[in-house]
Amino acid sequence: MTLPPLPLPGPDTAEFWAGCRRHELRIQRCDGCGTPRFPPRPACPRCAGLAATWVTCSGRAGVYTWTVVHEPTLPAFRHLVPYAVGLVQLEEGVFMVGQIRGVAPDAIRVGLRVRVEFDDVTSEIALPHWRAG
Amino acid sequence: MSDPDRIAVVVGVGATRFAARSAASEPALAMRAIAAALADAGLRPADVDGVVRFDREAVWEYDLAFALGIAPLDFYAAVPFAAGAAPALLRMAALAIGEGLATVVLGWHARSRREALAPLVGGEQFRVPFGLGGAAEVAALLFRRHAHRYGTPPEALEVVTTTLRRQAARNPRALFRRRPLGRAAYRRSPLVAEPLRRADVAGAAAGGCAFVATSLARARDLRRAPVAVLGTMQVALPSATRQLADFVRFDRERAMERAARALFRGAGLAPGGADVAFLHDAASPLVLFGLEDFGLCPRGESGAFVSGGGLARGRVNPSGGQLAEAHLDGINNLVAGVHRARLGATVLVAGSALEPTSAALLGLAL
Repeated sequence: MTLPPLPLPGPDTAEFWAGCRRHELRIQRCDGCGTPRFPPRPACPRCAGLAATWVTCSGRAGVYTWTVVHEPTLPAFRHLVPYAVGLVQLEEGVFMVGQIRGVAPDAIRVGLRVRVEFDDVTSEIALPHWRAG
Repeated sequence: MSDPDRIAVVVGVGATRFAARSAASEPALAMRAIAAALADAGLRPADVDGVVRFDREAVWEYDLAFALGIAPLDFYAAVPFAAGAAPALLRMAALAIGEGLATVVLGWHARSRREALAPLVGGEQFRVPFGLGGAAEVAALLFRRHAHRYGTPPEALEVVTTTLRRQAARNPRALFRRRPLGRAAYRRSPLVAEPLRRADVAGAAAGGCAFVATSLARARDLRRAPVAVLGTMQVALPSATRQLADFVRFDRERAMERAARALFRGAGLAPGGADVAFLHDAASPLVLFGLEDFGLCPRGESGAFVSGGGLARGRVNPSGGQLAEAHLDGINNLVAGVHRARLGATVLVAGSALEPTSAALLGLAL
């Protein structure tokens, strides 16, 4: 199997990727105003508060938009084609990119309910994807 | 502001030959484009005292000093976000001239390499590992959302792409000048990321473009009719390629409309009131987004607009743009815009709708 390009976790993002390794989807919640945020970052976009706590998401989401890729820009994904990849909105309100599986590509619709699963890609990195149903 | 020493005008533009690939280095392409722009303006390298460039550029300020004898520089600046940067170069040049920081400002961009994948340390780590590898995939997914919200049919992409290919046939510089694309041929173009086809995505290109700006006062002694910078804008939207999750949360439509209205108002024009628009078109959906952002059609109606003949008479990207002239991060759209303004048109040049972006309005200086 060809490995996809892998993330290089940094100080702001390490907890998200550590959570994925445990098959937990982790996002930040602002200590000041309670707004959940993703991708991880050092300040709240709503209240500019600097303190946040990591919380585990329910893992349930709805498809916001998607595409079915036939000729990927990166060669590492050629062995998967055609594959569906989209942007999902989690119950907590934040958006994440991920592949959408367990559904025929032409049956994907905006609002389709999906839940998170994880691929253990290396001993360090697990990548979340989204399964219909 | 009416001091002719402080009014910025474009007095020269230049470009290399455009190709799908080139054995020439990016520095070599940049030098050729710069030399062409200076010759067009009737200026010498020693006249240049300011430069503006993209931040990701193979030629830096000190390279110019040794390669062309441009030194010393009183002003230099670099603009980030390649696909959104070209009009901002003109904004920086106009700023430098308007503030008296420099008298002759050169701007350029050259490209010949394929973009290498950078280490995934920033927002890309939440996009690229999942198989959303490039701007084509991102544009496809954002078009799908536009279609969901406004009912835009995929046939609108076919109209955009076939129109730009037809327009390129009249442009001797265009890579696709001898490769027209009818509607049947478009439908045979393989799917890349649904509903985008290969023809909807600008491929790799090699080339360089440059411009020279100076004051209206100085332009009176030069050979070209000066093209005035009627207005410019920048908007720091989230980047769809770097921060896709932020991009869809942010009300980019309102932010773009507000900035675009101010741009036209500042130039004394009605919203969308340019004769010709050059909209960044690295993928065909970006043209639809640009038409709406800049008020060339109402929000959400770009599909009906293009299907109803809104692109007729070469009003949008008459050179063929990135899709059919050459994919050079929009710098060629800026040069093509200057050529049109020299013929008397009021011209809008706009950067990518997917990135922190910029736009400029050009017209003949009176």
